[in-house]
Amino acid sequence: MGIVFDIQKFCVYDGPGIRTLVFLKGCMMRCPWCHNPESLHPEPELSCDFSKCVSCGSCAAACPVQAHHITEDGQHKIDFQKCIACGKCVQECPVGCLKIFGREMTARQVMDGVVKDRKYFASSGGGVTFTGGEPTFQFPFLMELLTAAKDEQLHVCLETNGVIPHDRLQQLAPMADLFLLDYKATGEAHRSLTGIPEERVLETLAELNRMGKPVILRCPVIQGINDNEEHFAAIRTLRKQYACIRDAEIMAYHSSGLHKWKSLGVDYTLEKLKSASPEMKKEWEARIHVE
Amino acid sequence: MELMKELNYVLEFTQVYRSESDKYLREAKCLKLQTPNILVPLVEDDLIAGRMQHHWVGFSPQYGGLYTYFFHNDKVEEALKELEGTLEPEYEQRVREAYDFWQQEKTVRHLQDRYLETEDELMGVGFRDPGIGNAGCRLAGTTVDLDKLVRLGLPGLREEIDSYAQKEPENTFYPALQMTVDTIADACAAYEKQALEMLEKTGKEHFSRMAQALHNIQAQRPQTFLEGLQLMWVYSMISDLMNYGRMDVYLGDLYVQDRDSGRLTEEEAIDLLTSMYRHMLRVYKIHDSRVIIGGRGRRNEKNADELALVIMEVSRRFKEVVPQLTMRYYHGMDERLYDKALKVNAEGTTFPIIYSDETNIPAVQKVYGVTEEEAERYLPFGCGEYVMEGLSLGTPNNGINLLKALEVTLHRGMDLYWNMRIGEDTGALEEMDTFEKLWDAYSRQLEPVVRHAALYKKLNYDVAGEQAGYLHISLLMDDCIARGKGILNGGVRYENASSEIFGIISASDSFTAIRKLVYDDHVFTLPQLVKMLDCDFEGYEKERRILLNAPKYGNDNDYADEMAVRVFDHIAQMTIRAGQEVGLHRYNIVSVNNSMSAECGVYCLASACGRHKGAPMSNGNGASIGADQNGITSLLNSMSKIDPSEHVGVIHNIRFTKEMMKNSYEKVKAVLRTFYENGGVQTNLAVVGREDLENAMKTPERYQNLIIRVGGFSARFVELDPVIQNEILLRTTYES
Repeated sequence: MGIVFDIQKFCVYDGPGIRTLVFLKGCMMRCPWCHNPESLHPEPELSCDFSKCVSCGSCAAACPVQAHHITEDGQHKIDFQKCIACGKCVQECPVGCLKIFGREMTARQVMDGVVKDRKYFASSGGGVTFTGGEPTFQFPFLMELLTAAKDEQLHVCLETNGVIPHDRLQQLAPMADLFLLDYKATGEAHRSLTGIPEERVLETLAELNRMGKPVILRCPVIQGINDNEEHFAAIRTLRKQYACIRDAEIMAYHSSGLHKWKSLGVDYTLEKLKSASPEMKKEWEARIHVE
Repeated sequence: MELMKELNYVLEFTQVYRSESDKYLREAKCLKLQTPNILVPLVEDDLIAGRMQHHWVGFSPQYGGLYTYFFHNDKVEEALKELEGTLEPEYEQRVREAYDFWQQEKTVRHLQDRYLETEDELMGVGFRDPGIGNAGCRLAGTTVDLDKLVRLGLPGLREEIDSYAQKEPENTFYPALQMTVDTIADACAAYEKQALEMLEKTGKEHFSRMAQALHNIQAQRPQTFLEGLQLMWVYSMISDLMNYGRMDVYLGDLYVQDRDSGRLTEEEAIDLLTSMYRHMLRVYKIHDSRVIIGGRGRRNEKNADELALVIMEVSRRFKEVVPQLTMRYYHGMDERLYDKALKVNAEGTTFPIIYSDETNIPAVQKVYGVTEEEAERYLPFGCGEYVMEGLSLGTPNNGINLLKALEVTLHRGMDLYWNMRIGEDTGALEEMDTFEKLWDAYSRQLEPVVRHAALYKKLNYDVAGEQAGYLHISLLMDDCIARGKGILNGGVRYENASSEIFGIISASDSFTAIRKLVYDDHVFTLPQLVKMLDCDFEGYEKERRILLNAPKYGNDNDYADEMAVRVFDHIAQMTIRAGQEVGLHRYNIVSVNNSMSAECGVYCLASACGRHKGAPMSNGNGASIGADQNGITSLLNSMSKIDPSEHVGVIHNIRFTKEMMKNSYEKVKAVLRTFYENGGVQTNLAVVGREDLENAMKTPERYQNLIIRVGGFSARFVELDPVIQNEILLRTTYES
């Protein structure tokens, strides 16, 4: 059993061909730009689209732990710490502004959904991509999923932030056909931005290279934060250094995560930052280019 | 004086009609008079000749005038009123006599009388009339063997008719057919004369070529692309054809031969075809005007493919709502055609519509009980009903609204919109303590409507056949000449018909919600649910949300999809049985939808799928509006679960963003190919962003060229009724 917060069909950007993406909850990094903040916490959690809320109080009436509160001036306040994600308020809400992210699923349940698109995988060279959050955060569940996917003879991508202990990587690596490995910052900036030192990621990359596993390096670039030459140069160096890197992709910043942070009751430190323009993205792509 | 001319024509036509009692000869004589009279003069940019306009009385070779012998009372009444006091009393008396004569004699009257011999009352004729179903009358959608026309030409047809006539000298069908061939030649001659006059007047050289072509085809089979196109078009126009069959086949050889010999460039061919497209646009039959390219069973595949590419290019440049260019996909086809088809669609043209031969040929074999070779001649016409080219009829004259049937079931036969009884009392809600009891009551509401529609359809053919031989159509339908009979007199090989079903998925999603929430989970009782529906969820927003969250078709969810399959199968089998009972060769459902899914929705109460009162129903075999939330592959998987051998046409509206088509072209191509090769029937592709549609509603003047696929037809978005605009806006657009 594991906690899955989304399964998306017909994805075209996360690995080759047409893919189904399975999003596992939980992550050990805390990147301020994260556009899937609902993935961070390992347990199911409540979100509220406050823009839709009509402050009717149905949620407050249904809540067993008094997490919902409608103030006298009609504002809907949620004590997210109190919430136990029981989902009772979701059922009562007349406008559908509440949602629980994350539900318990077995590997079989997940895979039954995935294989429904087998024929599209076959015709396009696609398959399944496990992502998150950080999919290795639920390691035993991920192993179950990988085993099931291999039993189904599917092409498997694993999208990871690279924080994988050595012994786990040894178990994982044979089960995945392609790694989508995040490389988020260079040097000390990596630790200060994500909370994890860069070395952990580089060790994983080196090991994947040693094992001959193909990797696509995925580089989130956020203007004013990590769009500096030191970082781009490091990416170019990695590309030259490791034969396993088949490609490097810029994941240009977009602000679509903003409303999600708000709906989870968390402050978003990049609230004022606009999405990167297509021109910026182009320029960044040029800067990680290697001959 | 125009009015006098019209009235004179009324008298003249009536006189010809009354002068002959043999139905074949009478029709031929009427056509002889009618044909030169309906031709519309050439205009300066015509490269191809041929337009027509029916008068107030006439014979409708298909449904251009409407049903068989028609007479438009209102026009004659208006004219008499306008000319009051200016007409000679004796003349006016003759017009009034003609008017009275046609009240009894127009074919629609014969049909209604015949129907009322056994039934109590007529069904409504459209969605604005109360009832679960409605029925009109006409012959529509027959697609003749145009390849035969182009290959044999008029002399070849005459020879064939003669050879059979010698064996049956008494059969008036043959001389009548010869006279019908004359009408085609007459129309060519009339336009030849006009073309020469236009040449004189304008000095434009293309009128010289046009005149020569029109001259040649009167006496010999077409030798050039221009001649082939011109003959096909003159015939199609005067015979109300409206759906133009496998154009790549019947013109492909002439095109390649002209091109290879240097007689015609590709650009010149494009200009000629564009001129024909302009005629189609002026005729503006946006629910018809199918041109078919591609597919298995073409005698000249290579040449046909060459022309198919040109035809697609014409549609790409033309960017209009007609013709409804349709490409048949098959495994192993020329990849250039598939690519071109997707790229033309990617520009937002909505054409070509793509049909899968892999799915449809075996399905057509089964549903019509025909050989593979015959099934290869299937063609969608109109909004997407099938006929077999040259082999079968397939007229769809009636509509049945399944969501209304369910609504009436939940109200003991009452229609609360009209506040009148439209069905039997099939029992109180309290008695429906199992889902099967509800289903049974629904079935009993539906069955008499389906039977009545089938009977009306059969009589529609029978009565038309008693009145006429439908000579223009019979001329090019297999077996008619050999058998010496008109299509409706035992001449056509398969007398099939179709029944348009609306709201299939809205009904099935409603059944799913009822089954799950009332019978499985006991969240509400059936009376509680109906109370919510009756007040349009006023005060029941939470409950409405629960209904909306119930499983929905279009998400590859077996619970919802099995219900869709059941609802579909039920109406399909019921329709087949009703057809057998009245003696139609095959009578099958289609789920093709023009704009009726939205229009019928206006007259329906709120439904258990969560849909509000008056809101649009699902379109074709698409999901309930906005209910497909699990990605395009899930939608396609749901669609593929419906048995393709239980219907004769369904449509699937699929919308992608322009960015998706551009950035992920190969993947879109793969997903569609997989659908076509794994049970997918067809796709209506729309490539447009939601933002474009929103902007078009705000500033329509800037979006005059935004073409959108509604269901069975394409339209300019800004010209649509706001109800339909809104429905289209709310449909899912697939991006990544």
